[in-house]
Amino acid sequence: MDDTEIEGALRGFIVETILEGDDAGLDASTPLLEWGVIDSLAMVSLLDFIHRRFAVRIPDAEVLPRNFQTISAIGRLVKRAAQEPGDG
Amino acid sequence: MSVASLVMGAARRTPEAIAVVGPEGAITYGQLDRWAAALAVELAELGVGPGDRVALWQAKSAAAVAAMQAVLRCGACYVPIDPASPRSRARRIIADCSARVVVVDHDDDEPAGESRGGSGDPPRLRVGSEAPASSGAPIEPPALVTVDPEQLAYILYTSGSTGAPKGVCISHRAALAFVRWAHDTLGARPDDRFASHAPFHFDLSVLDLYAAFMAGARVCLVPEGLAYAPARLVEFIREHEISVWYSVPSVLMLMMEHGELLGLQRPPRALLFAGEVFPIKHLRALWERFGATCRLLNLYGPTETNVCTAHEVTHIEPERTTPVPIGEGCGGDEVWAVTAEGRRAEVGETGELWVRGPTVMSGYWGGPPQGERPYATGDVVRVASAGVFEYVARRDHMLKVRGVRMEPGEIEAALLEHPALHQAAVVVSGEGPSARLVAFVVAAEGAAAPSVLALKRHCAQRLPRAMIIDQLRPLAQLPVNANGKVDRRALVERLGEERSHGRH
Repeated sequence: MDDTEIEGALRGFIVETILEGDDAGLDASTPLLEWGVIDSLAMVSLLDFIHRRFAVRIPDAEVLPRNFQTISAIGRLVKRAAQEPGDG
Repeated sequence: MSVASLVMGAARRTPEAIAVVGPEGAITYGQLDRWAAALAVELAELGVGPGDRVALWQAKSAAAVAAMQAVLRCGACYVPIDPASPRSRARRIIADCSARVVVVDHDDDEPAGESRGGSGDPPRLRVGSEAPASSGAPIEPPALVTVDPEQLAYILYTSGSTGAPKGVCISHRAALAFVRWAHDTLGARPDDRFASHAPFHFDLSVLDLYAAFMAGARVCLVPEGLAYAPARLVEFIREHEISVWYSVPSVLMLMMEHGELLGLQRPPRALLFAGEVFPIKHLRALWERFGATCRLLNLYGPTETNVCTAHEVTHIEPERTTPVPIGEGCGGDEVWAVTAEGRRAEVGETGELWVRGPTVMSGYWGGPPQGERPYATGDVVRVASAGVFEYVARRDHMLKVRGVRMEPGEIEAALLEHPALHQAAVVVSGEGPSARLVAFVVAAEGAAAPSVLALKRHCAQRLPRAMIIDQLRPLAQLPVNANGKVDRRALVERLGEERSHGRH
């Protein structure tokens, strides 16, 4: 899975689940936490989505604001987590 | 007695005991005492004296705790500012309270030009993250300031209905009355470990810090980043062997559902919650698992009263479907409900909860003094039995989302600063942790309504993060009621219809 595919899937989730389909202005560098796109509740459903869509479990210790600032940061995190040996 | 004396007393009795565990590690009462004394000298050199206000614009850390103590030692009052708030809001608060000095972190990146924009902009005191060495030249303590108990200890800014944040002024008398009650009710001991979950600009943080200091116990600061990871919050309890936890119910619910809180082998000896209703289904699960070993306390009180009623959950009847009571008056406060006709509500009746007593604020900053006048909470309660109250609803439009109280008026005022908007009304959809802020907007003539993301960005530049809108509903016009006012009930009903038709 390449970066574009991961970012595309994350974008799709955010648009559909959080922004109710209104994707105007959303790109890979939109500050998701700062603009309140992702709060602690949205985080729970995002982590669940990542688990279902990519078969990747984000370790609790990686659930840090800096890993969720933007779609590209989340994309990098997903890629990193996918490479770690783990329960998948 | 002043609030400052709590740390001083513990430092005299047990200088080697751990006082604060922060992101940079642990410091003892002796270190905290010396740090506070050193900062008090620096503040005094910048001209801070009795009656002044000092804004604390710092990350949550031991350094911020030391700064609070330093301000109190000068006889001044501190004003904690949400570090995640936009700068414009922070500056508005700094200006409103006419702060003498603003304390910032040493690595603060506030552009120098911006901070010195106005002629009245107060000087900044930069504070390092490391406590001063525990040995070395003794610090000359500033001349002991005697504090009148009615003098202010701190000001907490909350959302204001007119669009400007308003400062709730808490005196030493009010803070100590509340802290003494919390300390005694918990039977706080030197070996207790308090978690400090709430940010310092929230009133919940007062209990964590000062009940711990009164007992000479340690307080462990929950790092801000953990808010997104319920499992790590539970790990925090385990790792620090937390004995007293205090947060909004939403956080406990997230920890139960996504952090396996109920799997803790050694839970805290007391779990306290306040700030919103704890849905009975979830509270019951908590009580069934921990009720036998852990005290569960439901506290209630607007920031204006600290905490004014409390209810210990010792039992939940199997047939109970409504939330547990908020309880009876505490901290020496007298509480009663006033009916629509203006008389005291009897058992079974509902009315607005009024409070009078030692924990009540001195007034709003810049407003008339509260004096002996009772404070009308704006919360409608039912008298469950003599002196025991159950929460029913808000009387006004105040909202609770993400555990934060907010006035729709403040959000609407921020939204209307957007040139493409003509009208805006903000209501809440959903409850508890899933509550969402929905903005109904009418575009300005000839303009298209902005996207939800554009308005989130717009809000993020003006409001605390919890007050950023979640969803947007552009309308051709807002519904009005018979009085010509925006019909918020109709807007809430519209959202209910949406949900029943499957849109989320």
